[in-house]
Amino acid sequence: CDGDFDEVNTNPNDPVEISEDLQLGYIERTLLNQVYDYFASGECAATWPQHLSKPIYNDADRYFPRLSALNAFWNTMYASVIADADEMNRLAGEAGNRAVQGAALTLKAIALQTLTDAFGDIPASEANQGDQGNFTPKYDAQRDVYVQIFDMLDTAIAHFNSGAGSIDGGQDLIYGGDTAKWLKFATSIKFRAMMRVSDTDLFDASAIQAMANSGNLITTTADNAFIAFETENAPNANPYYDIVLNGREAEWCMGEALVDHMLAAGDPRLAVYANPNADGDYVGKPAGYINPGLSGYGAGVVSEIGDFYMQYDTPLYFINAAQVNLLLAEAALLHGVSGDPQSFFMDGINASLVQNGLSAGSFTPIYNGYQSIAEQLWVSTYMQGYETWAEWRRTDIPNDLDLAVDPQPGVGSIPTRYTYTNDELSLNGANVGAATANQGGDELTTKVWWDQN
Amino acid sequence: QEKTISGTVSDENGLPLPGVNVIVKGTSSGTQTDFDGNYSISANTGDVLAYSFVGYTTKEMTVGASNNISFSMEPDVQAIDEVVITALGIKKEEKAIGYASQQLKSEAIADVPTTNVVNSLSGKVAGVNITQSSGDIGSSSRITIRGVSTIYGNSQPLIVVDGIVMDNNTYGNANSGTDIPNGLADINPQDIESVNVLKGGAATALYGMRGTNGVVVITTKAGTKKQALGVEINSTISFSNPYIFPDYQNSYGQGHSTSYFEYVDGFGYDLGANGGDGGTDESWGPALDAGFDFIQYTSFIDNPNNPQAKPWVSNPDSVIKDFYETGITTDNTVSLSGGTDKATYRASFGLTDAKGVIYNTDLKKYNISGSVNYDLSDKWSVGFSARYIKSTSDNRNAVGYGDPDNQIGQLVWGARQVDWGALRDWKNLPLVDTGNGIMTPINWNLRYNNNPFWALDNNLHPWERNRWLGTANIGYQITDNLSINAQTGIDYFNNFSETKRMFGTVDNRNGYYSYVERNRYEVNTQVLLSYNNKFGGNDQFGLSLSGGGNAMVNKYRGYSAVAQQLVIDGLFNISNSSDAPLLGQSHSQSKINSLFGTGELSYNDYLYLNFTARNDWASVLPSGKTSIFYPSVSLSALVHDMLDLNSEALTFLKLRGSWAETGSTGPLGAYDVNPTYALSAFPLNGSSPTAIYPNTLWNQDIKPQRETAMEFGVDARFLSNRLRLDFTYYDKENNDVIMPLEVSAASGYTNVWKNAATITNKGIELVVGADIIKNQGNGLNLGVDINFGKNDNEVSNIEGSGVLNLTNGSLWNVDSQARNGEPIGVLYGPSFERGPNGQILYENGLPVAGDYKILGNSQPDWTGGLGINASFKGFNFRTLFDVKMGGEVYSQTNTWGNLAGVLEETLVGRETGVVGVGVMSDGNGGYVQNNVVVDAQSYYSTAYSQNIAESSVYDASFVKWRELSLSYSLPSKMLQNTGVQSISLGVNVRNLAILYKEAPHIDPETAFGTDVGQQGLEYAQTPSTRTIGVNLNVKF
Repeated sequence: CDGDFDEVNTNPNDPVEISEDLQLGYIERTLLNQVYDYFASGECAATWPQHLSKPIYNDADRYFPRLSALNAFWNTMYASVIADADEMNRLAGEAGNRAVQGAALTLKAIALQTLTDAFGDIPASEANQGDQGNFTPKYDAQRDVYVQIFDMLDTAIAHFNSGAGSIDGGQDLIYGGDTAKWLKFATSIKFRAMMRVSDTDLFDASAIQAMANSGNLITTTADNAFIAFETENAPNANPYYDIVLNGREAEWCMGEALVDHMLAAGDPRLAVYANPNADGDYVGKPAGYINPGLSGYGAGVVSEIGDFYMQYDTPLYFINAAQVNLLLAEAALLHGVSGDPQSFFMDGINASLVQNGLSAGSFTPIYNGYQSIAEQLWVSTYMQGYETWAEWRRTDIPNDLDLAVDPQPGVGSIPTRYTYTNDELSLNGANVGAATANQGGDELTTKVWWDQN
Repeated sequence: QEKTISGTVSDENGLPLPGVNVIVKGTSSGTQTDFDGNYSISANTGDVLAYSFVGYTTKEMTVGASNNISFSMEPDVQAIDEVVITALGIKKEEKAIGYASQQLKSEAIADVPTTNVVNSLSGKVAGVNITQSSGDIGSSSRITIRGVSTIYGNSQPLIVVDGIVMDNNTYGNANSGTDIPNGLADINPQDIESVNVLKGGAATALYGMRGTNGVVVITTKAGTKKQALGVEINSTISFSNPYIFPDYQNSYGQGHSTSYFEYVDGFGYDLGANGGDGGTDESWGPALDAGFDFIQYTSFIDNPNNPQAKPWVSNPDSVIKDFYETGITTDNTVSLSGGTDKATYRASFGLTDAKGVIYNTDLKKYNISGSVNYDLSDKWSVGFSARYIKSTSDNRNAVGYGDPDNQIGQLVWGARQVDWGALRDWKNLPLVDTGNGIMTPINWNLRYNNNPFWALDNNLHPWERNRWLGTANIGYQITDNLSINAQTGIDYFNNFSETKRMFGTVDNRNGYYSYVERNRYEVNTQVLLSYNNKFGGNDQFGLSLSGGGNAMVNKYRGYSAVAQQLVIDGLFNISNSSDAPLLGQSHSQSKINSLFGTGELSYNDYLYLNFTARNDWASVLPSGKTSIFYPSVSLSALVHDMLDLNSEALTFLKLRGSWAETGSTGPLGAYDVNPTYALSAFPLNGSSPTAIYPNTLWNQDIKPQRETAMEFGVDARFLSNRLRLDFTYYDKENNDVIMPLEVSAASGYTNVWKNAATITNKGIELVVGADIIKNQGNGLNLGVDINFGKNDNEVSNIEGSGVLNLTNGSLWNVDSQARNGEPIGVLYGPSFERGPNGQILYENGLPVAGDYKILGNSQPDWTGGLGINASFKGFNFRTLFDVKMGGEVYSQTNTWGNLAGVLEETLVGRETGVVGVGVMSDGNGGYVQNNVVVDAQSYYSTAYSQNIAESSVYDASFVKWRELSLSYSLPSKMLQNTGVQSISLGVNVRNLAILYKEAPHIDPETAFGTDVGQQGLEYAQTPSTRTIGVNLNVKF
């Protein structure tokens, strides 16, 4: 009675087999949309280090993150970025396409690093083993996650160096299939990851020197790794553009700390970062307040995010020359990497100026060693929430950010991580418990492993 | 000697009763009454004539001197020999059935008509839970029988109309978008002869996997043999008005400063900056009626170029008076029916034209049906029926949280000084820039809301469904004891929905257009061979056997297109998309092949053993493992006959018991067991396809879920059937429940198909009927019907975490979940942090958000109904009270209404501040009474927020006075020689009042739709309506 059922139950809508690179664009786009999600990245990661704030509906600014946004961030990163990257790596391995394998591993490394920087200990060695029946992956200590990230990136770099295989330009939203640039991308991601662990035993200055020597770091804006979308609609548009489309720019504003810093420095990027308020002034909002309007920081009083950053095709970076050069300056200054720190510093500033549509040389900040480098890492990662937050936690500069007014009860300092998601607590509770014990808590204020100062 | 006896048989109201069987006892001579109730028959004096008719007590008359015998038949209210329709349309005497079965007659459905026939079941059948989503015209309604027995997918019963399986899904989503009437709403209530609810496993096992949630068997009206052509016209006009509203405060208006307000463009947020505080959609502003004058949106209406400050005054009833309208529904059905000695036929045409209580929302339904049954010979008979229904709306109301076109959401927040009437004439209102230079008519607030009447006129959600139901059957009587019947039936529909948004719409400033077209058909072809015989001395053994097979084919094709932004305003054509439109396509098909058999063995007409067996082969199951077997057995014992207990006091006593094992594929759909990649619904940059690795892990070891059901019942009737009690106890356990189990996304998958939980439902049902006053003929009759159903639902053995989030079961931070040891549909969300003795904990005067925990549960503890009916002369009266007790609802209308300061209770502490009731830390590890004064806005926006949901979870119990009808039939004498058979005139009222509820501001009977997870969640639903109708019924 079921003779033709195999045929009846064959899906006519979806492919059973695909080429090894047909997922690439999906992975790149999904990763970028998560890294720039305005509820997680915007309301939390960019707001807690006080680049942005909210003059209304500012729960996250008071350290009540939208838990559903954190859930979505975690779930999408694992199930729609890491799982897809692993599959693409597998298919590309079968097809002998090492370039696509390199791309898969690079993107997976970014996803894992973004997750671990935000949460601390996370599943990595047991991640994506559902098809082997493991639905409760154990969490790796953050140090072990970083070890795997470095391995992954070393393999990716070796794949690209082999020259084997190619990437379909139509699927590659970042470089249009240019594998030479992918090599720089993978190398720069590894470099940044190594700098992130600069306060730990995992840090290896010689590896940094080797990467610098290879000539494969992104030091000019021409090599920046970004996506500039071509349509006005999610997910093929800058996520922040959705705010503009809905006329809700006034629900967001500049943080007081950043505005005051840039005003004091006479930094011309402020006019790009922010729009002046109704009186033509740049005014930022201190973090917090239950009723910002009543407290004098309502919309209209404070400056909105600059129009430059709110276009549908605003470039959204995975990594750029500004950050790489500033990190090189730090490496040269503190870790003996060859080169002149101040020269790297200025290369970073110029890259940042160019990236913001200003001309190189149009601003020369005071150079005061590490303090200036760290300050500029903070300033120049504007609108890259996870990078701003990570660099601020790592360097502790600026060190004078105030606790939000009217914070969530019990949160006594600026958050240094996300709490584990409700989904993980209910679906993988035992492993969350072990991770919590291992890293000394599951609070917003618990410090992640590399955040040692 | 033989003579011709003639006469007229009438019913209890004196109306002619056609089709009454008249036989001369002890002979083979017999006839039937004609359309006028007349008969004539040859008989001898002293012969006994027996008059029988379904639903009436058989009457015997001895032929005497008179040649005329005319009289009124007496209805047998719960006739013992009543024939009920069981699975597969097999008719059985009620006494032979070993399980509970409850049948509603046409008048229970049609006396108080609704546009969705499902609502007519509410409160009338024990153990059946009906939930109407909202007061929208034709809104979807949900049926569950004996609790929820599946966690994902459809938990509703199978619907069978005249043997055709009918799709009852809604294909709408009331979380966002439009709520679309469920499939059964297509059926014209006037066409329904009876509704039989098959509740338990033994009743439904013969339907196989599709009957596991119960079966609702609907039989439509048909003609009667030897009946002259009759025409019936039924007309109803009814008027609906919302009757449950929030209690608003009327003392403070828009804004967030108690001393100042200035409206510039309705767009900005704040004092003086770039637009005044018309951009604030909350009511924490200045006192109303306190002598303030401010520039308001009405100032711009008066003079756009030179707005002047106007008095800041309240408009207490403006929402009720100026926003809602009276809904009007006209319902007309014309039917003709009749029969010859070989054939019966009926045709009907129905037209429903309804206008909703929300401006410019409507629903039209056209029903055309016809049926013919024809006896080709003594042995051959054929039947055909066809039904076409067109349901169409120029604009369905938009609902839910996420939809910018849900104008009720605007009322949840709506500032309290607003005069809604001033916004109605949008064509003549000044235009305002909504950003990007796009102009729309002025509104009290434009940042989050459009002018509601502009939106209702322009942002339309047209919907249309065309449905065809058809059957053909042929029967052959092979011998006196053996017959065969073959039937094929189709349910086909296409469903077309559009969403249109003009430039300037909130969240779609550049317009939007989408359409979805769905085509679906299902064909069921069935053959049934039946054998009946009696044997043994005195024929004390009866045996009937049936067996056959069914082949089901289901095919679905869906197409969608979305233009996320438009180029030309107001042109709703997919080619007008500014970027490449998003196109979607979904094709699927599935098959079920079945073999089945059923038998009944009876002894002395007082002991009945029934058994059924069915095997299904379902194509959605993994290859080679497609088979499911379903056995059932039931026993019925008529104890009063067995033990000779018959007396006036105890008329009838039946004990029954049954056991069944049924199975189903649950939510498993076509292709779910096989791995594939998918193409993203969003091509890269709008043009290049890109592939996705699936998030749900397939499982080729999935097996059918199995339900074991036991049921025991007592049916007792006393005082010549004037008091009737029917009690049932049931216990069902559903094992290996199929689901896309949620798993840690770090596993690479968000879900995996698994057999992963157990669900139990245990409960009791009680049906009581009493004829309190009973008189012959036209005297006073008064009857009461009570039904009660209590169900305990529990889910256990959920694999892994023991927790499941239900589909569509999320509203902000509240999730509807299944949890081990709890009923399905617990509402899980953030609570208040509590002190040592359970008091709410405060810090700095504000309540502290506590853990996420179970805040309630969407399933009621019990449901019940009380019906009263009375008749006197030509008057008929019937009324119904409908009760649901227990369960909770999370009301976001309460959350945002408090946060926004629009509800009555937010007046507390406006001027003086609020001191929350509870405790705070004394700073030394102890607790003292909270004594910190905080401003009211801070208090309400903290206590009622996404961070604390407990404040908005309420007991969902209610008692509703659900139905009332009063009709009058003209005495037949008055109609003599007019050609009119009968005229009756009636008034009917639905939802007279809500007599009891705990949840403030809302109707606790509400849902976002028909999914399990959509129950117990509320936001900005269209208020429930009270409907008053006038009805005229004329038969020619």
